[in-house]
Amino acid sequence: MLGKLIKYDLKAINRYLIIIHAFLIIASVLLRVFLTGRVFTEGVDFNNEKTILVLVLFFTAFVLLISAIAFATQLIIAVRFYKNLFSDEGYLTHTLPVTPGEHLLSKTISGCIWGIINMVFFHISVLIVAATPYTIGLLFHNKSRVLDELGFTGSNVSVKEVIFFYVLACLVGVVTNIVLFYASITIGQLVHSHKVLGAIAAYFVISTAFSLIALIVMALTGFLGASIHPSDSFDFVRYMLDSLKMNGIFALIQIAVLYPVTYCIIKKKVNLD
Amino acid sequence: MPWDLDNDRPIYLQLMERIRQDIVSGVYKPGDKLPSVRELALDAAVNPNTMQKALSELERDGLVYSKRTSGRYITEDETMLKQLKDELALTHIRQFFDQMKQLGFEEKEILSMIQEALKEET
Amino acid sequence: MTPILECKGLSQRYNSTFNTIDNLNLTLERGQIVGLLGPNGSGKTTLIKLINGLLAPASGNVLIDGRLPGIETKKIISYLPERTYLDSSMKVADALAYFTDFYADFRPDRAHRMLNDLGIDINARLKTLSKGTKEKVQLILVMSRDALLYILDEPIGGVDPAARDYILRTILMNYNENATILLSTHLIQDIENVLDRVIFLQRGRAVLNATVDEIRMEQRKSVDILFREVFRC
Repeated sequence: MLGKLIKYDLKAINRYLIIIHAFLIIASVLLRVFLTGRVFTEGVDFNNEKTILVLVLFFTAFVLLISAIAFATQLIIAVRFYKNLFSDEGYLTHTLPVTPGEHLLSKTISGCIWGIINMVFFHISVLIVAATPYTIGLLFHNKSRVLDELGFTGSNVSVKEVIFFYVLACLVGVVTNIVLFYASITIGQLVHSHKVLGAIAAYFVISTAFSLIALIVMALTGFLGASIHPSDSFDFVRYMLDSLKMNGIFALIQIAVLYPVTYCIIKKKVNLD
Repeated sequence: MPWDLDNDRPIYLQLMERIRQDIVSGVYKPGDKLPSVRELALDAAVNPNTMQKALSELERDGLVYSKRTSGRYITEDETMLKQLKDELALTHIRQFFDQMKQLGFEEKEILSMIQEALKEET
Repeated sequence: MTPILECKGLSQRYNSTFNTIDNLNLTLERGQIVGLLGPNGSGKTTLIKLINGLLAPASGNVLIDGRLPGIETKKIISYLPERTYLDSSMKVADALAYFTDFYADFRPDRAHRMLNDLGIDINARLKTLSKGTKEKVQLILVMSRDALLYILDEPIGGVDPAARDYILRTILMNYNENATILLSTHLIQDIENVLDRVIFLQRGRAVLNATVDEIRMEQRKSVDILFREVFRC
């Protein structure tokens, strides 16, 4: 049954998500062909104010586009969750011979699949736009300088390690986001007649609460202080890596708290109009 | 077309009456097979269980009989059918008399009125 | 044989006396068409939600085929809510596939036949259909299952008389002797003849539970008239 649920959950969101991601790739290719492909070549005058202005404008637009698509992706996933479980469709969903656990798992898996696809597309489109042969060449020629600027020189952290944890953090981030959205919606629907408002309120309360807790824990463990008063032996890359890990742990805790809460509410407190 | 049923009397009694009427008036001939309960229920737009009950009652009266597998049939017992016809006729006559009496006519008056009416018709 | 439905001391309380179920004891035997009657707010829909596991009871319990609401009971209940519960971006054929995928007792051929009878295009998107047609599609889906308990919440609520006749025919036609149909409505007159039994619900209690012919025999009046007397405002 889980497989069938996932199939229908994906089917319901695929259409919209494929369209917007196709749009992202097309926009990136156009940007590359008409702008970065031409600008990031040898002999470009970066002192030309016009060039800089155009670049800044287009990069701002690009960042906005990527953010909008990430937001739209999450919104589409969240709307599917809400509609399928808590609107009139819920009358059918909750009377299928399927457990509440399977419903939640199916929605989480289908949401995460698209969250990850979105993440991958985000990186691909950045590469399309920025990684012209010229910039890649530049990067390779000045490899040691780049690593030095980033703080890898003298650090006991390897680039591979950072990439590994970065990918991991991205994945955990996607899952956390989905779980947080679902939890907010599920808690929100407890507020009879103001379900959407309830969901939005729940989202802000939950995310603020977890950030606060994270902040307090970091302050208490002295982790925050280390960055404010760096010592001579301060290893910036190590510090960034540690904070990445720390964030990951907080995210995992968030999932471990919110997922069961969502499950219990779906099991016992569904409140269809 | 749903059968025309009154609101204030048990439905199964009315179904029995209707089937009896259909037998007497020749819609079903002696020895004919009756439609299935489901078909009759659909035709009458009534509950199948109610139709079932009506048919069982008719069966108890001997007006229909069932063969184990093939369904229900109208009795071929001519005397019984004759008797049914007479009973129905008697019911109508009693009803008629009751109504006429309510209008204040004596039995003799009613009889002569019937004869008058018959003459006029011919 | 265990009764198909049993409510024992079932209670569910909302903020007021509206829509509550109050210590309800009720048993439904198999093979009947039962009318669940009551004015608005008498708890009909609440009871139906409790049976379908869409609400958890505050106290007492409801047993379907001897089981508490759960996967096993959902397999044997075919439920028609008074909502359009299909994703409107689906085609009629998608909805059929959906039911085929999730309900082992769904009979697509039966659904196809009924859709065909009504001239509903299987490739039409649900959002392009009128409200009445959508309701018919849902009824067809629900009645195309070989369920043990059909729960139809106001199936003839908003449709015209011709459609009403078709719906009643559909219900009678697909009804089998072992199944039970629980049908909630406030339009009693139209369905009185197809019911075995009626349950009058008033403020969450069953104030009457009798067969239609018992009522007519004892009270010498139709269920409709009795209803108007019991629930006189």
